[in-house]
Amino acid sequence: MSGAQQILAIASIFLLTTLILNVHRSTGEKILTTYTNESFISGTGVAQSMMDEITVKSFDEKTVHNPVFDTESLTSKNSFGPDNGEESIYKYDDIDDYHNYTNTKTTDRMGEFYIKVLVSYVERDNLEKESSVRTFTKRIKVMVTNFNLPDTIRLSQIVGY
Amino acid sequence: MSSWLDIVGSFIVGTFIVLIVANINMIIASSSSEILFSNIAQANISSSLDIVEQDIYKAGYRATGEKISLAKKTEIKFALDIDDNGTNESLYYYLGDKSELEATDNPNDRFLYRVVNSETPKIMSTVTDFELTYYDSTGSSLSYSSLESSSVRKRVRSIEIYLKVESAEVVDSVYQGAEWQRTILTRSSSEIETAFFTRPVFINDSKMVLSFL
Repeated sequence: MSGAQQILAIASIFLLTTLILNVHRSTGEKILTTYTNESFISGTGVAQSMMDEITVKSFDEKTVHNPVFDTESLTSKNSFGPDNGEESIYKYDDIDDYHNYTNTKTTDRMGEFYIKVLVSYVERDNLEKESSVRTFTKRIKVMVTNFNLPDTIRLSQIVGY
Repeated sequence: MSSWLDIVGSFIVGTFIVLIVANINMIIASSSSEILFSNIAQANISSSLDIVEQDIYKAGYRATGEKISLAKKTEIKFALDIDDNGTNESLYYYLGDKSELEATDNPNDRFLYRVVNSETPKIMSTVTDFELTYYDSTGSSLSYSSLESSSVRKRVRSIEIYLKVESAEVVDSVYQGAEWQRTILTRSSSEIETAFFTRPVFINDSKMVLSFL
């Protein structure tokens, strides 16, 4: 085999190797995308279930039994979280009880979904902006992660009173 | 002698190259099928869940009399006023028999039927699993045997729906699929009908974000 033939043979092996690696990378990426999509479908269901559960609760601990007309009567931001005697999620009766709530939901195909909930007051005139003082509007943010998801699913809902 | 070695060596290398290319072809064909079946399953589940979710969410909506008349693991029948005309309609979901889809490779696929009033059952989707779990206001699941009693069915506050779709054909001994699970608080729940001043009002600023870093 001459020197030129050897170079051609090496070049063709190099091209073939590149082709094989590209095929594997491409199919791997496509399969990963399908898993991401499937995980997104399942994760959205998990997040929406959580959101549904929260939004049927009372706006605030102080509005559970009586109406409130002044924002100062509402629960302060620092007191968000379960109230006294609410040691189980089934005893949560208002939205901000779910602040910092975490849970894990397991599905057969996609494994574990980690849920975290954050509740905050938002300014009534600018719903994007968190409020440091009490207002009649709250934002519920449900975040769901899973190892197949490239990033967190964030579902947010603004509720007013 | 040298030329014979060249010929034999070339033949061996050539055979390896043909085998590698054939293997690539098989991998491409297999992964294409896998992706295609997976996408079909995801599309199927997305279209089915929209309808199932909306229907079960409205279970008991403006209905008079018994709201959930049948609550089983794979069957549910409930009343609701689906078209807002003041008259009760009934919706019945049930799983068909596996024998209806014997022609497919998948031994577990079956039809999910939706029946409005006493109309002819309509096929909603082809699924491999459809399970319903019923919970009361404390979050405890109600046993299927207890749900035969009307008084227990009245205690149903939320329903967990589990839907699983798998491809009809097998790829690399795996059925591609998708699953979906959601807990829905039904309209039949009396607890939702709380006093007006306790309920939050939804402001149209809801959004869902999946940001890629």
